[in-house]
This record gives sequence, C-alpha cells and structure tokens, in this order.
Amino acid sequence: MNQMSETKRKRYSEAEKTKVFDIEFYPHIDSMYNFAYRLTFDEDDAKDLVQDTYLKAFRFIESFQKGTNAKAWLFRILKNSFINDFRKKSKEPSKVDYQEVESYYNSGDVDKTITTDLRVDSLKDMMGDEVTNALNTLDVDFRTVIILCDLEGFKYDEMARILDIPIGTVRSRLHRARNLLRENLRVYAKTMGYVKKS
Amino acid sequence: MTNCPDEERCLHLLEVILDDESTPEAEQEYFEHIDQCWPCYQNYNLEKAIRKLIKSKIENKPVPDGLIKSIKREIEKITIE
Ligand SMILES: [Zn+2]
Repeated sequence: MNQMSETKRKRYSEAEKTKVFDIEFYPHIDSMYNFAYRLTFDEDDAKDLVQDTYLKAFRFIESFQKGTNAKAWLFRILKNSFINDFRKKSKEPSKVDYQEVESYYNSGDVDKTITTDLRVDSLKDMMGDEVTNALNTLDVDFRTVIILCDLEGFKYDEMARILDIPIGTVRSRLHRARNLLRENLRVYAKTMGYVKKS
Repeated sequence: MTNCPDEERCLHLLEVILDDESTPEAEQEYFEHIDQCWPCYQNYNLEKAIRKLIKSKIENKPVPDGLIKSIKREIEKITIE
C-alpha cells in the first residue's frame, strides 16, 4: 500500500466508480435537482445542470476522496457549473458579483437585524407559494445560502467549501439573507393584515 | 416592554445556536438571558417559527422520470470513447 504512488492509490476501477455513484452520488439527486431548480427556475435547465454535474463528477472522480462528504462535493460542482457555464447564458438578468453584493449590503442597515413586528401567529397561515416566493425573490447569492443551510442542512464549513468563501463570509451572508427573507415574509404578513400598517 | 441592551448580539448568537454551530457555554449564556429578556425570548420564538416555516412550506419538486437513466447513458458514452 505504501509503495503505491498517490495517483495509483486513488484510482477507481470501473466497478468502484459505479459503486460510488450508486451508493454515494445518486441518492443526492433529489437535493441536487431542487437546488438546480431554485437557481435556474426552469425545469429543463435544472435537468441539464444536474446531468452536467454528474458527468463532471464522473470525469473528476479521482479528486473525490471516499468517505468524505459526497453531497457537499456534488453541490460544489453544481454551483460552479451554474456560475461558469450557466449564469452567463441564463435568462436571468446579469447579477452583480459576490464582492459587489457583499460590500453593498455591508454598507447599510441591512446588516442590522430588522426587528420587525412580524409575529409567530402571522406565519401560521402563510401559504407555501408565499414562502417560496419570499425565498425566490432573494438575490441568487442570498438565496443560495438559505437553501444550503436551512433546506439542505449544510454546516458552515461545508458551505464555505461549496461556495469557496471564508466561514466568516458564510455567516455574514446568511445573516443578511435571513434579514432579507424576514422582510419579504413581513410583506406577506402585512397583506394578510397580520401586522399593523405603520 | 423593556428593550434588550444587546439585541443585535443576541440575534447573531441565536442564529448560530439554531444552526447548531454554537458552543455549550454560549448556549447556556443565551438561554439564561432569554429567560429574563422578553424581546429576545420573542425573537427566539419567531426565528424558530421562521425556520420551521421554511422547512415545511417550501416544497420539493420531484426529480424528472428517467433523469438518472439518461445520466447513466451519457456516462456510458464517455466510458466507451
Ligand atoms: Zn436580550
């Protein structure tokens, strides 16, 4: 074992590749498809993105270490594919990049939590569509951290690796994303008459 | 209703606690605090409700039929090449 070179030790046989795909990769297809859909808002695009991700996973399988977090690895590929191959040609109007968004939101009050008049009982009757819209109208970078953390249950360090950003940035981006989401939910609550119009 | 002297910090702490990324010490401090701080206690309940709302109300789309099959077919093509 020790004499084997690094590359040789890592090499997967065809049978092992199939096994890794069946046991570690394909079980995440549901999460992957929904992540892709929430990024693109288009079923065909989401399908393409997922397929693309799995093909890349196959091509670059040597860089996947068995026993590590396959889901995080796949999500990272998907997110990179979305940014590199997809965002460019997507119908979504081009977004400012991370840095700009970050500094924009750093500058203002958005960082401060909006302590709203939103109340717990106002959330009870909220419809799935409304909650979904509240999430979907967030800028893609903010939407992404909410999906990763609140829907997919990734830890901060996993998110940092998926998004290629420091943990501190994960935390601040999440905080801002949640503030913005709260604000969106508040708008729905308001139209339902749950919060007093001020 | 009294205000919290350190609400902003409490909110950050709350977030980290609900994300399960906190320390036992910080958690203890936080929960002792909300026992006697009404605004923070409300924030705690609201934040928990929002998390629950997101998890329960946002529906997943079913994966299209045959997606895995078509991926497997594409992979086979690469392998043959
Ligand atoms: Zn307090």
